[in-house]
Amino acid sequence: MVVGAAVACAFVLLRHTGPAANLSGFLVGAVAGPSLLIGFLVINSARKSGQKFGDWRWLPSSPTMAAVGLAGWAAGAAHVWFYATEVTRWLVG
Amino acid sequence: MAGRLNARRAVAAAAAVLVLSTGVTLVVATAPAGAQIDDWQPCEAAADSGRIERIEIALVIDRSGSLENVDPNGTSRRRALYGTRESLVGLQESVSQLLGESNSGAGLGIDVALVAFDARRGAGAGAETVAGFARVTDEHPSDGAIQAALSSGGNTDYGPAVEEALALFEGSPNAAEATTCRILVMFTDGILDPYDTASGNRPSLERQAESHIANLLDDLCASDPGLRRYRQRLGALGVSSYVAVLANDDFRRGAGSSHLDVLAGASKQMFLALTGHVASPLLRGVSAAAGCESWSAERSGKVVEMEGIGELVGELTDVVGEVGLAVRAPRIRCTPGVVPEVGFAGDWPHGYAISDPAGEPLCVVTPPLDGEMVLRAGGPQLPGGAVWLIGSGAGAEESPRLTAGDEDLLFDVTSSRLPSDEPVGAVEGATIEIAATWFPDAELRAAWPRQPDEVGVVSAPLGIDLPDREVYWIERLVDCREYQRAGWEDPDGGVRATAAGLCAVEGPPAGEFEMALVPDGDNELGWSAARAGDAGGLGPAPGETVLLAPGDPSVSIGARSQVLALAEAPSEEFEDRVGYRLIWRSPRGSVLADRSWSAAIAVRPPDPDPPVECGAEAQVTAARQGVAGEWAIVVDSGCRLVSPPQGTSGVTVTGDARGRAWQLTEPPPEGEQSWPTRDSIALSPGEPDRRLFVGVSHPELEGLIGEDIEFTLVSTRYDEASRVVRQQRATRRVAVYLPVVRCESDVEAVRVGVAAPGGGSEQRARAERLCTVDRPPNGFLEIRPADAPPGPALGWQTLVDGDDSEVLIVESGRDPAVLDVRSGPLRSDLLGPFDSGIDVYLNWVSANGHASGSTWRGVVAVQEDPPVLLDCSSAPASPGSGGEIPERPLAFDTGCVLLTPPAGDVALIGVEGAVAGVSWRLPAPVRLTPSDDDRRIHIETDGVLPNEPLNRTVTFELVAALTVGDYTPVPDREERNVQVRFQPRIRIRCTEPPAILGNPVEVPEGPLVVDTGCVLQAPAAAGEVTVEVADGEVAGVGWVVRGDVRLEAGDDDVPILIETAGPLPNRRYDAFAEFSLAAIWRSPDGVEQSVGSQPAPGGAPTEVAVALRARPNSGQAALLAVALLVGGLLAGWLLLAGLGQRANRLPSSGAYRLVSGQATATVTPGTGVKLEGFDLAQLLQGKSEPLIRRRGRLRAGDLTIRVQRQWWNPRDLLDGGRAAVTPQVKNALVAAAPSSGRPDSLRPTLAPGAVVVALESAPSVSKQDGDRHRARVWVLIPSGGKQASGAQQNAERNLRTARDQLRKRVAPKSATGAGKR
Repeated sequence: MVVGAAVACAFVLLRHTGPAANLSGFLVGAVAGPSLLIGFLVINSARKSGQKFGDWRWLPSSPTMAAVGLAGWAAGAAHVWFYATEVTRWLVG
Repeated sequence: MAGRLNARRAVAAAAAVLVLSTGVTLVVATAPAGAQIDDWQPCEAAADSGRIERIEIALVIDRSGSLENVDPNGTSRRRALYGTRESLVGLQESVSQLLGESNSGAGLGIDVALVAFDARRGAGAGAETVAGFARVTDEHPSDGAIQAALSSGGNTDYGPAVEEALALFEGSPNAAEATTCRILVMFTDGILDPYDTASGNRPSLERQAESHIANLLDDLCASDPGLRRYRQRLGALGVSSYVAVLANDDFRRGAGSSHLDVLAGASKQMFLALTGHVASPLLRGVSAAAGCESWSAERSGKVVEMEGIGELVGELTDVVGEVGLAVRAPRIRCTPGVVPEVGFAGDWPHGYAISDPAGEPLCVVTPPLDGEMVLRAGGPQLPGGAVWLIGSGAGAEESPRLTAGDEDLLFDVTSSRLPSDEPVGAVEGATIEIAATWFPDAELRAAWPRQPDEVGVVSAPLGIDLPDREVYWIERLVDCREYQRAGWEDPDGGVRATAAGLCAVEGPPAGEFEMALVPDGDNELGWSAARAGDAGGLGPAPGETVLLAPGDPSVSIGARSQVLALAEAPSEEFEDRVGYRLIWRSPRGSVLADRSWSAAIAVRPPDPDPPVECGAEAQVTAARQGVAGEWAIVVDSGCRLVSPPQGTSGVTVTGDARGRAWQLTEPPPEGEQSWPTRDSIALSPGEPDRRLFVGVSHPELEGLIGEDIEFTLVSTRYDEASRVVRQQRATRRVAVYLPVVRCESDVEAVRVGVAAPGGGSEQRARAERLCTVDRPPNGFLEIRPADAPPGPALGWQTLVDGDDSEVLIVESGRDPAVLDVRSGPLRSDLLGPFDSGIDVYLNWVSANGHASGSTWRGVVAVQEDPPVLLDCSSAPASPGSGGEIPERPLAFDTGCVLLTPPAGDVALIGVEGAVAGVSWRLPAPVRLTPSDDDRRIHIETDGVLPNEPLNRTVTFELVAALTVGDYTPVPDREERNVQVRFQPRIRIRCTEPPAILGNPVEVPEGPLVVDTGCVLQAPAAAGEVTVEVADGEVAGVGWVVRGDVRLEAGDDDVPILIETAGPLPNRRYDAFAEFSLAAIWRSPDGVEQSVGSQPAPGGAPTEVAVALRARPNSGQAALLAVALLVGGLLAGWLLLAGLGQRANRLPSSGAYRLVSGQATATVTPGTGVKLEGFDLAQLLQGKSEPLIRRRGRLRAGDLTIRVQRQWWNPRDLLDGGRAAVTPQVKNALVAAAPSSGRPDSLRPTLAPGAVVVALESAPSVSKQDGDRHRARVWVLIPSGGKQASGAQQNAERNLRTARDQLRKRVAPKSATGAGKR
């Protein structure tokens, strides 16, 4: 859920322009999202090794969260492109 | 710190003293030969009030943007301001110390303020006080304030700078102190350029800039309280101004363009008004601004011209030095206008001058603060060469010396240098010169070594009364004779003896001469003074005096006796004496001289009566043409020949200056062309007196008239023995102005009135200027038509001023007259042209009763008279007054009226003329009958005028014709002129606000396109119109019209798009860009004219908002994005690695143990490695080795097990990382099972039953088939016994796996070896 919130936040920020919004989107989508995904996977892996672990039947947790994390990273990549564009404007003007 | 400051102050003070003591010397020493040393000093106003107690210096520093070019970062200005601050601190301390030593004051206070100025459009006032007035110290003005004054930007405007400085001076608490010296030091690097128009062609801004400058110059020297009055306010405060100019080439030469001329000229005019430094090379040839003439001529400052910014330090230091010099210098104050009374004591010329004890001292001298001054006084020159001196009362002959601390020295005129021991004769014999007005100046000069020139060149007028005693120079003004002859005169009925030219007197140099004759001991005839030159004699009544003032022309004074009876008149000459006296009074009333003379006058008896007596003026009495054709005039001389008591009287006449022969004559009889003349006339006793007429002749009458002619009557009286007793010459002058009548032989007459064919005509014929008549010299001239003229008997009448008159009388003294004539009513048979004869009779009757008459005959041609059908007395309506060419025919009221005919009908048959090639026409035919009213006439053009500028006077002619039955007179024509002025129709219409096309948010890569909101309209009639951008730019890129817009008549309107001449620089834009459009209209004949230079007539240039973002750099953006993403990935990778590093996945050393056993391993191809002598069950029951876990390694004896992460597998990495088990035994080939663990970050990789097999002797272990090696086997088992069985099963499986691994590692070589065998 935390990862999902972060990714959603990154996408929401896409609707806003400006270097600050893009930098924030980049940090949320491309840095914080993957970090949280890693944390999730590690913890999930540990739980899988236990005897009481039961994954979701129709929505396996790890691939799902990996897909969500990848989407967030893509949003972050878009943000970093926009941010880099603004930075080059600033450098020119 | 304080000690360091004191040391710095001491150095600064020493520097200031050094500047004071050596700077001036250097100036003097290095000045070129013949160069004029500038002796102006600041603080004159304060010094004149006494000792300077305070100095207020306003440093006004230019911080315009151009300074960044010459002084980047303000390095030189900062150094200069720091240096000025230190110099002022040093000056204050050094001068205060001097004042303390001299005990003349408590010290000198120097207050400093710092003002920075520039000009920014729309940014309010361009000057800022960064530091107000406060005592100068090492901390004031502060470094921060100085830095604030150096931040460059904006343009250059002097007005706010001066206004800010004035506000500081006027707001100072010491504004009313007269002993405060106020100094304005202004530094600027360039010309007055408030709108940055000097660097480029920006016409719209140039007009605004020149308007701004005009207002500034109006304010500069104005006295109107509603204006700023810069110079008047500076003068009221006594401010001394220094202007330090970093002059560039444009500044010196003026120009390059007319606008630069305006900027440079205004700058120099402002400098001239502020300083009055006309000798400055920079201001050479500069004329004062309007109203600044007096200020510019009054020296109140100095212009310092610098070649580079590096000189600023030295120049400001020099200013401080000059201020210090002014403070320390001595002062000489003289009261202007004081006129001390000076008189003489003792006997002239040995007396002494004494000043007026009640008067003020002439001059007061204040000593310098240091050093010694030497005073030298000079006085006026007295008549006779003696010299006045002014002095301090003691030792006037010496040159007083004053040093610092001395009291003020008072100077006055107290004594003269007239030596009492010189003989009188020396003075008497000297050449005496007196000026016209004798108010000489005295001067007092002081030499002070610290100054380049003597100071205090002073003058004050001295009023000197001359001593009240006889003076000698009066001889030069009055020249009296000792002896004169007098004759008898009888000007007013009484016989008097008159002597002229007794004394010639010049006007006095001053004061007044009063001269009169006084009784003398021998004065028997009672002489009185008389001035020559009055008509009829010597004028003044007895006892009257003659007064002469300075400047009066010299006069000749004579004497006239009392009235004498003829019976008492002596027959022989005798002498009498007369005395006269001259008194010379000074302007103050003192008697400067009083002298009397005495002269002898020889009185001679009067002459006999003259033979000719003349009374009235001579005048012409007749002018006749003689038989031979010559003209002659007869003149009454106004004289008569008097019959003598005895002897004979005779008279002759002499010619005039032109050599004409005059003769004595008689008045000619009426109608005669010849009359007697004679050369002389004589009378004997008893004959009646005879009037004298003279005559002169000339071939042409013009040779006798128009001038004054002189002739001379020479009369002689003879005694009985025919000896000449008395001869007299009487010159007479006569003005010969004969009446001249010039008549034209053929003149044209016009008809007056309306021709009405068929009888009953009221027409008359009138001829003007038939004859021109000059006024007669006397009498009158009578002119009238003769009674029976030839030709049609029209009964001509003379006209005087338009009125009927039978006879024209021209009297003497009247202006020349003109004879007009008018006939009686014309008969009906005289409708057409005809000639009429006229005779004019001229009769001149002179004042003397003489008359002469003549008849002149001429012909008057009477022209056919067109009837008056048109009345154009009213002014026409204006058909065009500067508006646009109308798009319809031009129509207007001609101001003419078609008059109703008395009979028949009248028709307006046409209008002739054209305007701009288009003919006039009548809108509708007009025809009037006697029953109609008058009709105003309107005309119009026969079509639309061409759309081109029109400003000319056009002529049209209205033609009206009268028809009465079969008779049609000549049509009546009236020609009129009207001024037609139109401009072409405007072809640019702007209705929408300008907008950038495409609405780009980024700077386009191509030109920026703008829809101006304007449309270009096609020409209405002819020609071609194009449009171009007249002005405007954005970021230095000009505008051009997009596309080739070219319209001809009939084309549709075209919207005007403009674009930049090229791509804009890639940067951010947030401003308004101006542009203005101009339509160029070309007529078919090639005439080109700019129309509609403003898109919106009367409006300002249009502007468009340009708000654009810079274009990004895609390559740089990609690199940066990749870098950031890689950085993010790396950060995640490192985070994961960190997490994995913390979990090494080794089993706990306390929960497991490791058992080991020996075996023999046989390497067999195909079956792998076979362990012999080994029992797994026994091994599990065997001895275990202690298990040690340390630093990510598990150790048991010489076995070491590491679990290494496999970071290269992203999938496993995300799951916690797959782990590889790496056992190590020294010198053994080792295999382990399991060899790796699943991705799991928490569970140990090695589970119970894990096996490690080691073939010893490795790496030298033989791998030949069938080789046997010693092996060791380790099995990991739990410490408790519950899991032992499970561990054994696992161990068996793992043992097989381990042997497979060993087999894989040794099999290839075993197989190779088998093959070889």
